[in-house]
Amino acid sequence: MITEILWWFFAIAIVGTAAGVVFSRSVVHAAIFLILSLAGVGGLYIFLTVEFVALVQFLIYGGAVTVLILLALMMTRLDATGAPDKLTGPQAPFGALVGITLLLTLVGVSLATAWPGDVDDLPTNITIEQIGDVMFTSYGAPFIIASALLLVAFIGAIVFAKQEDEV
Amino acid sequence: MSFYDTWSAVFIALIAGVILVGTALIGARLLGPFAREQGKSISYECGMLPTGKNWTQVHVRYYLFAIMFLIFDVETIFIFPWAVRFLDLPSHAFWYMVFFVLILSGALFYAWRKKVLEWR
Repeated sequence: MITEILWWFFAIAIVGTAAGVVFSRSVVHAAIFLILSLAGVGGLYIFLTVEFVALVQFLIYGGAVTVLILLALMMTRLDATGAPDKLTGPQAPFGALVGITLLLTLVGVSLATAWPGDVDDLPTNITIEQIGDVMFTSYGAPFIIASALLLVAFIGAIVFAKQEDEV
Repeated sequence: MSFYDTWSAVFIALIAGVILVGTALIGARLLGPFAREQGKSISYECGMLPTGKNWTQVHVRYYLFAIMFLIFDVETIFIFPWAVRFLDLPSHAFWYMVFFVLILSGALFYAWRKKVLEWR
């Protein structure tokens, strides 16, 4: 019972803040709404008892990715007159197309997938300990390759940014 | 009900935090004196009038700090399950993590050599 009430609370909060991202007239407000929306999704992950994914959601999406988006906005936007931003631009029909396609794909996939049956309405609990065990016994090589991927991403960013610097 | 045994403390802390911050904000709004003058909103009350826009376009080099934050955030996430299971994992897991941190230290070293870390 209380789980359902909390679930609806989080669901409404996520949808409401997501609407805030889309409809707020200031990009900084949109970014703050984005943090709240992503944190709400992290709360839902806690209800699914996948604490590790919730941790990733809070730390990486709520923290780092939002900082990246904010900095990207501060880097690229030139027309900062203080006037409220327009909600739509010439990209609106393409955005609608992509959004509707994504929505239909996600709904279709979630309806077509045979979800694993959870015991007693309780989701299967995957603990951080289990993830640690599997990651460092069976998936050692992908783990190391992930670090190489991060290294390449970082060096790529440095190369691009320093090119800009030297011109 | 072990789920609520585990998370009720977090939930109570969340509610208490909202109440604490909310009462502080509402209390300041109710009790504090407010003088609504146009002059209070400028940057320097007794200085020169600021000109131009308040939104400056930041340089791309500050983006690298954000990227660096993201990458070491991901590193933290990977260290977490390793640290939780450190004593029960086979010894090669230790060397996996050493190698992982070494590779990412390479990223930090590269940034250092390229003078990305200098704040200009």
